[in-house]
Amino acid sequence: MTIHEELQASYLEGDAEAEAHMHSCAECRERLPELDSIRDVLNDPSSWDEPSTGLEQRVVDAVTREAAAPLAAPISLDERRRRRNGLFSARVPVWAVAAAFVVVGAVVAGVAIGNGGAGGNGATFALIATPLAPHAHGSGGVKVEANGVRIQLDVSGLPRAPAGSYYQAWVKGDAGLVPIGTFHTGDGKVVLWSGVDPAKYHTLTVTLEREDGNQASSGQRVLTGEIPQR
Amino acid sequence: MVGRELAGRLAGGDKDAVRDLYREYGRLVFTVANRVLGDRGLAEEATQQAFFKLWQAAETVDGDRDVRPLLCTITRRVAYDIAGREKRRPWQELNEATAPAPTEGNGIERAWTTWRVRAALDRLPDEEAQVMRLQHEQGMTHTEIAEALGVPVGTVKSRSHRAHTRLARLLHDLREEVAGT
Repeated sequence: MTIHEELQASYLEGDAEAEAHMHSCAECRERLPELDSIRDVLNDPSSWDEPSTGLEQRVVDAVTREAAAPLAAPISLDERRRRRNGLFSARVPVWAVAAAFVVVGAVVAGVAIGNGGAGGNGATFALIATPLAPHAHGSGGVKVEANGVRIQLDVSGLPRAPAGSYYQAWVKGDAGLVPIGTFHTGDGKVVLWSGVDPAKYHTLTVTLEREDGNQASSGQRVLTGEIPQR
Repeated sequence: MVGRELAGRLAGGDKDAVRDLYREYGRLVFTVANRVLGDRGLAEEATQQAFFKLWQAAETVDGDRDVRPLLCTITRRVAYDIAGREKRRPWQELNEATAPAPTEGNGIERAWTTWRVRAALDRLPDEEAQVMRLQHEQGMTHTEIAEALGVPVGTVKSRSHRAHTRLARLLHDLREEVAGT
């Protein structure tokens, strides 16, 4: 080990003499920004926090539910590779790509006109538990109907809301939060109705609320999900 | 390399790879998110979402490349999205666990540095990692650590120096890596 390496280690420890050396030595000064960033991480208490033991299972459960959700036909490895390499690297003539954009644009415009621009029609999505309800899980389905957007949640593991409280579902977008219904039990299917376009409200949350007359959200989220856009 | 093997399994649609990815990198993802958000609960939410989004993006993962930089980037994005969401919340004052706004310098370099430092700490021998934690997390002096552990001060000093030396060596390529991120 060189004397410079010795002093750099001492600098990380917070040694004052090493600090003086670091600023006067050209070789060590070069490494100073790097060592400072390491010290910054070491001295931040949040760097030493540990995740809770239940987090691993919550991560796996969320993915398992997503994997079990009905999807389109499985994607082959060749298709994965093609998608990864990008549209223009595929052996497709430029005119065909341009034509495809025209067709896709027309279809998208038609869908937008047909259902009011709603995204996520017929789509399913996973609901992810928060630390407030670590055993909860479920999935959601979105369907645009004549009278509004029907959102069905299939939830389990969410305890019945305590007396004097209830669960409230919300959709959230850039324009803010819109309440879409309340319920009290966390096991089974819950049907909710939204009057706003799901293409503009990408996130669904479920919060625990108190019956206190306050219409604002408590912020106590128990489930969250991202409404897929189609 | 573990990161490349796991990337290959993920790209192949193996959902069991997610559990192995979490066991390998879950703590690192959590640490990066926690540094951005400064809130354990939100950091856990970000961790969960990061792995979920990685799974959703599995078909675009290059199975021949190390998955760590991608996972770190997803984590940082998710953490920033959550930080932005928390800031916009109209009921923020009602929530006891209010997340502080991310501080300056919370860029991809900072996230990757956090990741690398935490990973290097995990490679230290237990007795050295213990001294590091007491010194940096608790802010204890060598004398206080010696009293707490019931060992001579000289032992603490040598463990501390060995640990910092090891850390400096493990992270000798940090600047080049960050520059190339």
